[in-house]
Amino acid sequence: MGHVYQSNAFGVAEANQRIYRFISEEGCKQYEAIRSSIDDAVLEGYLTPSQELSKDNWPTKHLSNVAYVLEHQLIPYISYPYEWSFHYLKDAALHHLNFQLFLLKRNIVLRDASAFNIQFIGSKPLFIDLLSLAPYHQGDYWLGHHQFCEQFINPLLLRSTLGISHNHWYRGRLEGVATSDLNRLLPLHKKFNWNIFIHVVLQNRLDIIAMKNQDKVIAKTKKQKGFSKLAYEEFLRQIKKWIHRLEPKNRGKTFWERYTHTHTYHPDELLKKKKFIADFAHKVKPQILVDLGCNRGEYSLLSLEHGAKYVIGFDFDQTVLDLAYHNAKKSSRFFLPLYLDASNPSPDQGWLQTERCGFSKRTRPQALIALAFIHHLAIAKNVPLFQLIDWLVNIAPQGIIEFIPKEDPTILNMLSLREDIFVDYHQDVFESLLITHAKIVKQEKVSKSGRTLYWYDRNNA
Amino acid sequence: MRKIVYVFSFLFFLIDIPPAYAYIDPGTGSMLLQGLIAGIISGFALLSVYYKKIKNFLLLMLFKNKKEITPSHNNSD
Repeated sequence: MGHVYQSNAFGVAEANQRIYRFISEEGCKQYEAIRSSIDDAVLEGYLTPSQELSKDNWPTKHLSNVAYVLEHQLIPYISYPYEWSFHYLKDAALHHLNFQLFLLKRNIVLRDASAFNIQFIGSKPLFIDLLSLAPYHQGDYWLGHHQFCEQFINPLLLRSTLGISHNHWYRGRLEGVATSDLNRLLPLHKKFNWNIFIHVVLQNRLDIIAMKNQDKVIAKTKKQKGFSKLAYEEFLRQIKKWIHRLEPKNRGKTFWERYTHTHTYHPDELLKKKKFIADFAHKVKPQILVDLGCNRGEYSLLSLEHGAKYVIGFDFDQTVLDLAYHNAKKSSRFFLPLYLDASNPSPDQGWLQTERCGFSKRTRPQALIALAFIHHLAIAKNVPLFQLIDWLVNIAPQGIIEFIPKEDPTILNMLSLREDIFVDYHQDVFESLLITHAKIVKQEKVSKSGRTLYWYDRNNA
Repeated sequence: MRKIVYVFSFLFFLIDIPPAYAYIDPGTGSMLLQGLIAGIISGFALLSVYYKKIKNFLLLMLFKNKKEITPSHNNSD
């Protein structure tokens, strides 16, 4: 049995690639109250499918104080808000609000608003925490509002009003961006926006008042009449409308049309490269393929067309990630582009450092492609070539790595203003290192400047 | 006079004051906020409900009138 996260009422455990949820005797009342709406929520695409197991099928017979065991559908790749680009976080926020509006009609609410409760299958968001659902009572406030602001609204505002992407801030503080921090960062003229005034400025001020006058505030809050259901729904709808309008700063809708991409390849060379990748995807047919340095997702989508089932792309450039999101949505294939600084990947963190798994533990694909990628680490970040190859080949048993020689204009540019201290960065060294880890199935020079693709397989090394 | 009071109270909220570090549920400010704006939000909600009702009523009237006009127009042919 894997690690168990658990409150008094519920727990989640992973065993043999299966996800189980345990509902205790104390928690079963809440579960039974929302049970009849689960199928509808799954059918409408809001909630991850789950199945109630009969006692004979429980993963272990030695469970005390457990009333129900559910098995959840496995998510192909767990990703976190600090790995999502702006538009994925925005989609997750809208999904949360749409789900709440759907549930309110059935007299159910979401007790919290954690962004970690949403996962993506391809580019489709899905709510995964069944037991965040609880019965609605007349006059209830939206208990998750504070959390929703910190986990969704504030990180989105960081980019849309200040042009700062949320990823590093979010990774440093798993609760998201603190309202008090954002309030201090926002320039005065932005605070005259009605929504920013309500959700950032006023909320922050009331937080401070609440902290200074704890007893009074608690008594006052208890006396307050609360929200009517009509007001609750309207509150959610207004936030939804607002979030729908948010876009990264200085980027209108025409951005997508205006953007033109310049390839460093001649059209014939590009065809050669594409054929190599298509052949690889067709032969290997990986369940999951990782595309390191995915850029706009051109080769990710090509791999999906030729046999890969699910592609996770990684890049550190926010602009190309926005474009990759756009392409992923347009293609409707299972492609999920995520943020990654490969020289500093997501670590194990959170409670007991097991709550949020790091990149290496989560990322075990059947195949990888690393095209025009290694020089970003070997040259720009001074990572030794032997460590780099070791790291790449360890990620997936089969893959394609592109080697770009020093004579290529890209590397010449990189070295134009600095000393060339990279004595090991040569094709023959690269090849000899790769051979020590894996068999080279195929290699092909795909550009005049000497760019070469290597198809490796460590299963037959 | 009311407008002046509103502007000053708005500006009061914009003045930056240092946060108070104390132990209280971080959602308390949000609850106070919801209590404070509940009336406004309900007003918006009612407006949108009545706006829809009035809009539907007007559309229905317009549609009815058109229906009444169409046969008479045909008859005149």
